[in-house]
Amino acid sequence: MTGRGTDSKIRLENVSKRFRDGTVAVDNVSLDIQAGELLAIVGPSGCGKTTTLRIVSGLERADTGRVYFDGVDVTDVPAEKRNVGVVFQSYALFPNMTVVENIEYGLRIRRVPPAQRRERAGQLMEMLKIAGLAHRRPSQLSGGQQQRVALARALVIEPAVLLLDEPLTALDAKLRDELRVELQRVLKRLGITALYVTHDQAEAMCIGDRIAVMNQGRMVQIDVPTNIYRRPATAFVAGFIGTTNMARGHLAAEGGRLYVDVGYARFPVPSTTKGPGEELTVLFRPEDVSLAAPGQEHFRGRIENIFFLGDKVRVFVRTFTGEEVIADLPSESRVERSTDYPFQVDAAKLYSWAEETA
Amino acid sequence: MRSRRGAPVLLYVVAVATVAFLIVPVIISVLGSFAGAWHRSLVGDFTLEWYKYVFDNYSRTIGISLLIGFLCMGIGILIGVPAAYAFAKYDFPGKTLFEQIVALPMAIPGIALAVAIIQTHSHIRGNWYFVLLGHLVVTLPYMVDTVTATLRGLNMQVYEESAASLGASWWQRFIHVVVPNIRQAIISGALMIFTISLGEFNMTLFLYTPMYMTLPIGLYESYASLRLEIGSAYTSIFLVLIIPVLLAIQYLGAADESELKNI
Amino acid sequence: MSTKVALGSLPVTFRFRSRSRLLGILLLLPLALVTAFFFVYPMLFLLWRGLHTAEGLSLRHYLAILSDARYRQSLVNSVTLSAVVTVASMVLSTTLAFFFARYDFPGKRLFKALLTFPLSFPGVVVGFMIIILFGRTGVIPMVAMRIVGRPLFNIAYTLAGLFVAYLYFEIPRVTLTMIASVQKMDRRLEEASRSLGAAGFQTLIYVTLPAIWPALISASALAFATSMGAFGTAFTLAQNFNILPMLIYTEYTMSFNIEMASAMAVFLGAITLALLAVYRSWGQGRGRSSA
Repeated sequence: MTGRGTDSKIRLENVSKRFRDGTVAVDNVSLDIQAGELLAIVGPSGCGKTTTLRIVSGLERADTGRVYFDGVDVTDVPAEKRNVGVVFQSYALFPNMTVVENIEYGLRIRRVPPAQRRERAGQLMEMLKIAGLAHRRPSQLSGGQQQRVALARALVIEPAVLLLDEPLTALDAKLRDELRVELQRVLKRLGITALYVTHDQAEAMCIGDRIAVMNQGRMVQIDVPTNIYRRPATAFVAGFIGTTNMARGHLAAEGGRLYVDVGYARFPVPSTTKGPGEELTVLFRPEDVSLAAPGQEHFRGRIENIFFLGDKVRVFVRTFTGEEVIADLPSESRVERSTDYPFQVDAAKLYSWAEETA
Repeated sequence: MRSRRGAPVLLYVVAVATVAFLIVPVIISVLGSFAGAWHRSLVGDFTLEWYKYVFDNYSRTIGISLLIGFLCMGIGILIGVPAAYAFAKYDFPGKTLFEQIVALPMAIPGIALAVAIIQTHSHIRGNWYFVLLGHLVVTLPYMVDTVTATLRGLNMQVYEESAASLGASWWQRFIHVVVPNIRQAIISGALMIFTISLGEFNMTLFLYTPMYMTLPIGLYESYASLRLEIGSAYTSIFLVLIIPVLLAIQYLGAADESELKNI
Repeated sequence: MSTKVALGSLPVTFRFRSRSRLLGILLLLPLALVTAFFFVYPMLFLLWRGLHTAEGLSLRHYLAILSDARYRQSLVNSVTLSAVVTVASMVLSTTLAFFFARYDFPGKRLFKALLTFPLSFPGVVVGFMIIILFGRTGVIPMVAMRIVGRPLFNIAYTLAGLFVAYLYFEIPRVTLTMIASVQKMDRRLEEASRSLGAAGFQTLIYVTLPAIWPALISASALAFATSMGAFGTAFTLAQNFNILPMLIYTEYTMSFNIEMASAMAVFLGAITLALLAVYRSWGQGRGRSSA
């Protein structure tokens, strides 16, 4: 799950960093990014994801640990020499330059002759649909346009890795969705290796080939989105990614099978190393809950709130023990508030942990 | 600006009276500088003899003031801008204290500064650069303050990081990204320095020697011992030097708070 | 950029690698040298000088400012003059500030330009302006001569003239400061007051002025500080005004009473410093100099 072989394009090994006031920003983080992959780092504010990105970029220096690009140790190499492309949250377009001057800046520094600069910048502007804005100033652009220019500027230098620091956070929802799709398209087309930082878990799950979940400076889980979703490593990951129902209970054996009694229900346990009498935490997603066919119910509950979400109906159910279960029902479901219904959970989808890990 | 109704007449009167109070003497002074004999008549009897007198006797003085003004500007840019950049960019123990100490000369009366300087540096008194040094002390803070504020307001940090990530060295970042964005602040700081230096009197009174007299000292001389007409002519020359600079500062839009300075 | 994580960290990107530290020192060194040699050192010396007596260090000189009649009188004069000028200029300038900020009239920009143009006048020029207006052959006496046959208001070289001169250089300053503050004031407070039935004057007293009182304090502090430190104006108009800056001058250059002059200079500097600190903390100005 962490560092793999030396064929990774970008690798962080046991990187730690502490701020001047003593707070730990990044705590012994290791990760690797494969060539052409988009790794999304996601976590709540203050979890260290931006600092990690900045360490990869060279704009911050880790206290301990090493950074490798294509197997080469670049830990002591400053940002200017790492050939990275950074897209900042605030875009950071140079106010004193036009759009095309902004985009060409990296090439200009690399002493690419003007004709070539123009051509490469032109290609990228075409790809990102901003060709008509070439001679405008950043202050004359909308948020979405500025974002594309920032992207073009970072891509045109053909960086070893593209680093995106919450690039879509400043935009409104609709624009965000549009741009995210375009971003994916462009990155895949160019085959660029990218590191994408965001606090929006839905965005991360959408865009990442792999997801890295961070919390309080530590890397909690790195895996493909399916596994992150279906097999979260800790309660934190489970709670942070999507919506989860978690329940804790005792194991009991019955008729040769193991069940876990969580108070309001007894669920058949998939597989576990634990034995009867021990405690187990199970989790299941709202879409795994449905109205029970007769005789198949796992528990009954009263619907307290109903939210119609178009493609589904999300209901908040109160069990007789007082716990809340969130269930996503098909959108045609006819259910009413303050009414009791029987519910069942898809036992095959239950996931459990032996230990309680944060 | 919202206006509901017209203002009460009384306010107009007060406003006009105040402006008149401020501006009329300036106009009179300018007119009087061309008048043969003031107390007889202000207009008519046109003459340039007063200006001639001023140029004959005070060109050197005016020249010295201009020289000091320009030198202050130049030195102010060379010393103040890098320092402002460092203040905005770096953090180190004692930085706030350092910044505040640099700003102190703006808050201390010129005579207090003068009495201090003249006691500690009496050995270089009599040199032409003695006055220049005094002026530097009171003008540098303005440049540092203006440019630092602009840099902080711009959040230059991000732009520099952006340029760095694109491969720019420190020097390239400074030239391509930092300087172009503070150009206006530098210019208005420089113009302010010039204005302050040209008009500096309180401190200069202590520091100057007859060989290196400055314009305001000359103004005082003319007020105290010469005819009003000569004083007027001299003042007009001062205004001619100052007004374009003030207009330029206004144009650059930095005027608002930054002119509450030396008397 | 996403600075939530970066709170508490250094604003500098490159921390203190030796190259960057060297650069920082190089950038600040010239300023540090000039400030240290030509400001800090002289001021410290001044402080020491004021404490220096034949018997060693003592506060005798500083205390003399308050105990010796002549010094005390000059301090009292300075404070009184400054107080009166401050009140007068605050009343006038605040009125003008409201006039400017609340009403539309033709020539607004010109008005502001003309009002603030004298900001750059050194004190000597202000003194001269007053001489032109109120001197022996000044405008006002001449006009009065034509009208009533006697040259009235020949006050340039009197205390009244000094007061008017101080008013001359305070008005642009204070008005500019107050215009900014009045413009920033939330008009809805006044609208609320009026909707509750208050007449214009009541609104002014009970709502408007209290709403801008920090700005009033700040501007007053500025006016007071500028007045206290003003020298060139008084110097031009007469040399026998017994105000603090003038006394410093005469003690130093004529009586060679260096230690006393130094003590008074430090005292005056401390007063203006304190006042300008008030100005800065109560207002939104970037704290500018006095005289």
